[in-house]
Amino acid sequence: MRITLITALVLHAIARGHRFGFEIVDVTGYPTGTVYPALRRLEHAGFVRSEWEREQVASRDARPQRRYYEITAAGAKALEGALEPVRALGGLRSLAPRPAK
Amino acid sequence: MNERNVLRQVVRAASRLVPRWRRREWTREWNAELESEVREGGARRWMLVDRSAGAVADAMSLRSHAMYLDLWWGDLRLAWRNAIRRPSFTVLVTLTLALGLGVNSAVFALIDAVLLRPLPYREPSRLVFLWHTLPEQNMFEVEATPFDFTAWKELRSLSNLGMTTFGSFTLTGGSGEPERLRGARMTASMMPTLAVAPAIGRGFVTAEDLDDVPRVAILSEGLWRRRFGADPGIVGRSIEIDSGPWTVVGIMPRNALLPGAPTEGIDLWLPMRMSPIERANEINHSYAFVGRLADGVTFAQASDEIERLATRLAAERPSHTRIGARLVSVEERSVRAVRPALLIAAASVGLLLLVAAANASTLLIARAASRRHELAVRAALGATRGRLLSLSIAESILFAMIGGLAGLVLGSWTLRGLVPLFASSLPPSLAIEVDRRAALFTAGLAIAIGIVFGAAAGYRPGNHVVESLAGATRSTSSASGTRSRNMLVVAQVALAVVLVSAAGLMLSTIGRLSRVKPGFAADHVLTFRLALAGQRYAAAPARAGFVADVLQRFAALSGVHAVAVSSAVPFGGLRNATVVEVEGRQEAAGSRSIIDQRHVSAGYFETMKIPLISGRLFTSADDSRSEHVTVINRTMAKQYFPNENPVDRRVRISAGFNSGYWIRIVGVVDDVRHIALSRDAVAEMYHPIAQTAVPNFTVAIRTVGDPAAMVPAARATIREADANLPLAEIRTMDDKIADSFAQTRATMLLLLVTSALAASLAGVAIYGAIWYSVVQRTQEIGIRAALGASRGLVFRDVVSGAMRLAGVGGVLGAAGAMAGGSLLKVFLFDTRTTDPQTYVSVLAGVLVLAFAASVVPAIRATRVDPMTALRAN
Repeated sequence: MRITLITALVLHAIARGHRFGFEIVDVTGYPTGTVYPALRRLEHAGFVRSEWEREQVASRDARPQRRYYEITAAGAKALEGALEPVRALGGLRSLAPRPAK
Repeated sequence: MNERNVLRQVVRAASRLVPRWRRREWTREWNAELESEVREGGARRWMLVDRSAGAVADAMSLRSHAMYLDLWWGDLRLAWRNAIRRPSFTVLVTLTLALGLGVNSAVFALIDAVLLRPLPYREPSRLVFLWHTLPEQNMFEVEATPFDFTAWKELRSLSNLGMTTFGSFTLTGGSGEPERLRGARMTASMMPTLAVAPAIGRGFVTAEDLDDVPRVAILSEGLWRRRFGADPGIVGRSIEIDSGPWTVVGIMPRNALLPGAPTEGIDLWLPMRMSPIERANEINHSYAFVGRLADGVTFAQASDEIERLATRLAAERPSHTRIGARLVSVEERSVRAVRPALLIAAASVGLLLLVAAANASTLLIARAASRRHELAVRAALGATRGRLLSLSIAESILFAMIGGLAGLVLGSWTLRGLVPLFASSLPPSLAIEVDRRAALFTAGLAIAIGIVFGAAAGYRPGNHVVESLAGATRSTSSASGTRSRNMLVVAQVALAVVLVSAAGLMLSTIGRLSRVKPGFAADHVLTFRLALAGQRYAAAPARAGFVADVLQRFAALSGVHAVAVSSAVPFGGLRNATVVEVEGRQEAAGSRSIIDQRHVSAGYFETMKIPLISGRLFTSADDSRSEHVTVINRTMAKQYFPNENPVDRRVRISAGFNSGYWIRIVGVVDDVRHIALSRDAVAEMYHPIAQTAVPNFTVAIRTVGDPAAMVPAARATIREADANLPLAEIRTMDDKIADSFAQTRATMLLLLVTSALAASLAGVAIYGAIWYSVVQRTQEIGIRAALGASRGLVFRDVVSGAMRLAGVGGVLGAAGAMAGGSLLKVFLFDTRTTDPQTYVSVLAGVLVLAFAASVVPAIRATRVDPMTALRAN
């Protein structure tokens, strides 16, 4: 799978611990219509995996169960490869994910 | 409607786009995210709308991904419709592929069961055989002695060491007939070394390595079922082995296997029960050793250690002078006998599959040509090359899958024929069938073949779209189509030639083997083995008396020409060699004369028709009261008495049985090939069994009529002499010889069948290609005929086209066969892999095939009517 800027950012956000869809949408700043297809592609390629949040956690917070994403070993490797040229540029600050709101 | 409901409606509407199988999960995820957003209440209304719109984009991206699958599915459906619209074409293509895939699934099942499945031990790759080596005699897997069990226990690179020795035992008593059984005595450490244990009962304990404890035995599952009706109560009971009581203490699991055991497996697992004398024996080399490499030790390290130890023992112990030692992997050795045959089987069916696939591919190309119009329409309507290729691949995968299914059926039939062919080199307990693994393999192969040959046959509307659309039928067929067709035909011929050449080489080998004279007359001879055990035969005179009695009884039977016994008849798989000293001959330091020993009755040479060269044969006067005498064979006479008469010279067995006294040579007989037709005779001595009274021997009966018909009479005669004596290994001599090259013959048969199939397919391919080219060139031929070309010229032209294809394929194939010939080398006897006679006949055969395949199209070409041909367009 080709790592584009968007998939790299989504992967990076997940690697930093942002785990569910709208959270990733918030930190990357891209619309849901961009982030979700990227998530699907990453999952299809085996770079991220997902599972449903435990029911007790969701009911404690009084909301439906969310689907949580996490990065796989293959994903971590792909992200490393994608960030290589960025680092070489001297670390463009603007690429860093914004903190969650 | 509140906003929550609006959002749900949006998600629900979008979910229609999502492929059905992931729709529920997808909806749940989106609803959960939006719901949480609403509950947290932080989001503005426009922001919620924006976010839910993303669901539509997400659903659409999933949809487009699924569309590829949909398209592919559509291609398959189209391929299926096309297939059932032309049933005869479909049947032809799928049968061709089924043939190729079927034999491959059968051979895969065989290879999977024999080579790929691990042996039934824990970590079988850590198990090793320990062998003595006699480098000077060129012997590298010599069994060791009980003394070595103590010596090798020192080896630190082995965590376990077991010793075993194989033998035959007579089971008597109970309800059944007396039965001769294969068995093994083993040290208590053997089962833990292999990590096997009885399914019922216990294994052996170390005390049972010595003979001062009660006798116990473990039965194989097969024997337990066959003889004791699978009664678990047999454990703890006593059975009678070699006329003595033994207590059954266990039953082995099904398929339990002792490394180094004969292929038929063993029925009795017995403890070692060594006497103190046996335990100290340093000269009897008939004990096999299996060890397990200690954790972290490599094979090379262990080999180093045992070699160092052997060097030390060779220096310290006279019995071990010039004896080395080495390790051999149990896994490697267990498949050694059958691996070359299976590799050739795999190679031959692999080649046949390629031929079949190329054949199917030429059929597909031919059909693509007849569908040019349809394809051109597709291309004109915007189908890309990729789409057409995808359609072509879908079609060939469809054919290959149907072919694969039919092939599985064909494969299990083939396997039924294949297994008996190789039976003599396969463990009988092995379950060999076309199972799930074979089915998976076949499916994978079918898909791979489908993709490769679908791509090769791929539709190429190329530059002819416009012409094809205009309905032009004429002309110059697409040059690239003809070229790939011709290439496929050449490839098929070449592959078929490889197979036919290999079959030819094997045929020549079998021909030469069957012309080898074994040195005796094998026809009309029935053989079976007897073993005199127990108290009744403990004394030598009792054994000699029994032999004399049996010979007399048989001689009195009608239909018996002559009868004799021998401790080891030719092709019986037995050898017994000992060190011999020749009177007055100085051995070079450290070297010794190892000579095969046989013990025969007086009439043996006459019965087997082994000619006397000089001196005399044994007579009934050569018995225990007279001087010890021997007859030697021509090879021994040549090696030990060059240019002198061996008669009246004396020899002495150096150690062990029959040793310690001088034996006078009284005669020289001609050589006999004892081990295999392809192996020259070795030096041999024959002793009168009346003097040596060996307890185990084979009876050989020369009959007047069919030797197999003598079996009931033989059984009855032995029963009269001793009702408790079973007959074992009842075979005619002809069968024994045939068995000795069964694997070579099996390999030849397999090659013959695959090469015949490949050659027929190649012939059909040539026929098809030439027919097609005649159809394509109808106009051209018509014009030439109109311009005055004679029929003969047209005929020659067409036939020479076929010859060219066959010639190129033939030469390429012959080159390929010579290059791959080394694979066949182990099977060839007196035949070189470059045997010119074989290749010349194969190439001539190919040209004849090409001629035969092109005659009909060529005749059709001569009948082309110029007027019709020219008017046609």
